Amino acid sequence: MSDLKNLSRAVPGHDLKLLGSAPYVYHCHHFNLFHDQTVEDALGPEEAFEVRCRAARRASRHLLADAVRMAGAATPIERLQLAASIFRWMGQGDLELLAGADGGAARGNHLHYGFAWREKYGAKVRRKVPIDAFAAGYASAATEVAFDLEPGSLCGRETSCFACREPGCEFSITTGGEGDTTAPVDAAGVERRVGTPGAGIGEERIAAITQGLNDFLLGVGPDERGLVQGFGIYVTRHLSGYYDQTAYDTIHFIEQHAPQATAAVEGLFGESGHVCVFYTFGNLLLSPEWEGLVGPVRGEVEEVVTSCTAIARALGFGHWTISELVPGERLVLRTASNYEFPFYLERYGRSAKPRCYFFANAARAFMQLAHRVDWPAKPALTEDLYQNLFKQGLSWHTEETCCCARGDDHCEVVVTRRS
Amino acid sequence: MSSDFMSQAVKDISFLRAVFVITMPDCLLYSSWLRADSQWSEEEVAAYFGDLFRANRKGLKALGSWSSDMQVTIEAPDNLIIMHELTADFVTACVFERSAALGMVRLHMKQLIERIAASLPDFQSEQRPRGVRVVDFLNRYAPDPHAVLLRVSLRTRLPLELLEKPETLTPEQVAQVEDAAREILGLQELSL
Amino acid sequence: MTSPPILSEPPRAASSSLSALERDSGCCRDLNWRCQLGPEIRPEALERRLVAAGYDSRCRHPALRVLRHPSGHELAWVLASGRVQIRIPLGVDVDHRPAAARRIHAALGELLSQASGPDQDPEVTTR
Repeated sequence: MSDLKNLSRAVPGHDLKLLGSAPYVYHCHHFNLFHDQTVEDALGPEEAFEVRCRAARRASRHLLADAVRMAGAATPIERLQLAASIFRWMGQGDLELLAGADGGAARGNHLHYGFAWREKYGAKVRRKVPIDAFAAGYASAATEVAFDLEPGSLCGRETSCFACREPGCEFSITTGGEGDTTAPVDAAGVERRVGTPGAGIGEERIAAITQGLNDFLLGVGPDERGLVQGFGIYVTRHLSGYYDQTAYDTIHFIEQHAPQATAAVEGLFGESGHVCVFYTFGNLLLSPEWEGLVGPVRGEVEEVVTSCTAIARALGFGHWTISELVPGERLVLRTASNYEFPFYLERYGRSAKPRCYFFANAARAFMQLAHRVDWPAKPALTEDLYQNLFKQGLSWHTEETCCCARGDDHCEVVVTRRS
Repeated sequence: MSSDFMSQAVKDISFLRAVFVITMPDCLLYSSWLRADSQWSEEEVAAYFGDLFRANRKGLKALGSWSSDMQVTIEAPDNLIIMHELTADFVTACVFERSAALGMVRLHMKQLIERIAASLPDFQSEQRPRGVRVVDFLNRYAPDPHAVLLRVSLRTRLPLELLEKPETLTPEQVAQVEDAAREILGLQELSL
Repeated sequence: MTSPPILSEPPRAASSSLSALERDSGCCRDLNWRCQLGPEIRPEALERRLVAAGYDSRCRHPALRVLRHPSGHELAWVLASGRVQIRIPLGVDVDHRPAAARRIHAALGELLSQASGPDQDPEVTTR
């Protein structure tokens, strides 16, 4: 397929993005690392790698099968090359797929997770276990699809990892997988579950900015290392099925086996929402692209919140709308589409409690950014500033008061100032 | 060791650009002072020079020529770096301007070592509960310190409220928290 | 420790056209840097010079230019304000990023000084 952009499309009216029929979103390495770290904290490194690798293989297989069909890739080598191109387009790095129908190897350079982990944590922490579970799962899926093997028939394992201060990333792909008959959550599943898109405060501004950002993102492509930079931020176009399955499988495990730690695991997945908004949304607002396309940020609360809502839509997080905004006091966001609840309903059925952890905590982070960052001073959004903003207890309380995963017809999050 | 203390310790020492006090064997930053025009990441310097010192110590032991008062001197193009073992648990790395005379630098090093070593904690006499020290250690060295107790809570399955009062932890719970801390930091042992 | 933001003075010949180099916000340490072009710089002329120097235009929005050099770094340039963001590639080791930014900044200054020297490019005006 000469132009991978042809694979990408949107769910009309819902600000959700699809690669083939696989839902995807934009997320930066700060979110990705924190998300996967929480899976590790909950399950331990070995089990976490398995869970992440399985989720990656399932979501990727779905995408790759679509891509092969759409591209008319008939031979294994065509399919493996296509898979490597898609991996780069996603900003996941450079993956050499060297396996055959009986397994084999894969080799990674500048892999998003390993490379980013070393960049962010390498000077502080000595990592002992490999991190590139997504690449391992993707390599297994690509090999399965290339050789028309049954889903889940191959297993990927990372044998050498850049994050562990090894020279590069190496993978073994072996036969003897347990098989996987679970149906993917695809475009049809998402479209079945989303509700009716609404409108809210600042709709005209939000829609115009979203359109501008979407147009700009069309021109964003991978560099020679397979990394994607847009707005001065390195991002991945990542399969939301990977995030959803890893998060919900982990939370369900904790709910069943260690319920006393449920608040901790939910809190940490929520924290990854703060991380995302601070680094990705914040740096996007400070970027030259934003200044050129929209204008410099003045720092008014309504301006920052509407801007963040537009960014959420452009990154494929759903058609979020502002239902109420009282500066200094309260924000109510609503949506009938995001990348969380459709997966939950399709895979697990109705939940007894709200399940949109990212949505709820991103909304809280909107208020942090709107009230506590001095935008005209053009601050550097560093780890020190992050610790300063988020360490001493948050000034805002967030609660998802309605959730489609619980049977409501829309999701609603209410953010109020802590007394 | 407070920043005020470090500022006092380096007073009147000319040509000095930075001082790093590094814990051993984990090579973590314990304390530092940097002149206003220096832009280094203290944690990185501590990690790399700590590693260097540890390797040097092992190499000299392998040669049978190690002694506790050894000093490592690096003459870089812009800087003169001198590392010295303060105690079994601490080393210091001092960065001087390259133009400083070596004899003067050695004299200053002697003064600095005396001042800093006299103020280092004696690990043997530490009286605080071990759980408190483990949590302090995490708050000081773990990445994302604002979330570290939640991470420990998830790893140990101990409630957050309990971890917020580490002095009340039982010995078994302290051991769990210590395991979690080692895993989070990638360390074999914690230098408490 | 907070680093001083200003790392290099602009080359003397271009001092009226290019501000000093400062750290800019970014998702990774020392990856993004900021400087400011003087109002006399004409976008078309500078863009042509940058392309002649090997830069490839990645974005030609009416309000914005993003250009990438074959070595991997980028310049993102807001036409209305003259703000330029220098983007160091993620593959450059963190210790080498400030020096890389200084080199790019100096090269940009050199390009501007050529434009305002005795053999002045007629498309670059000075006030």
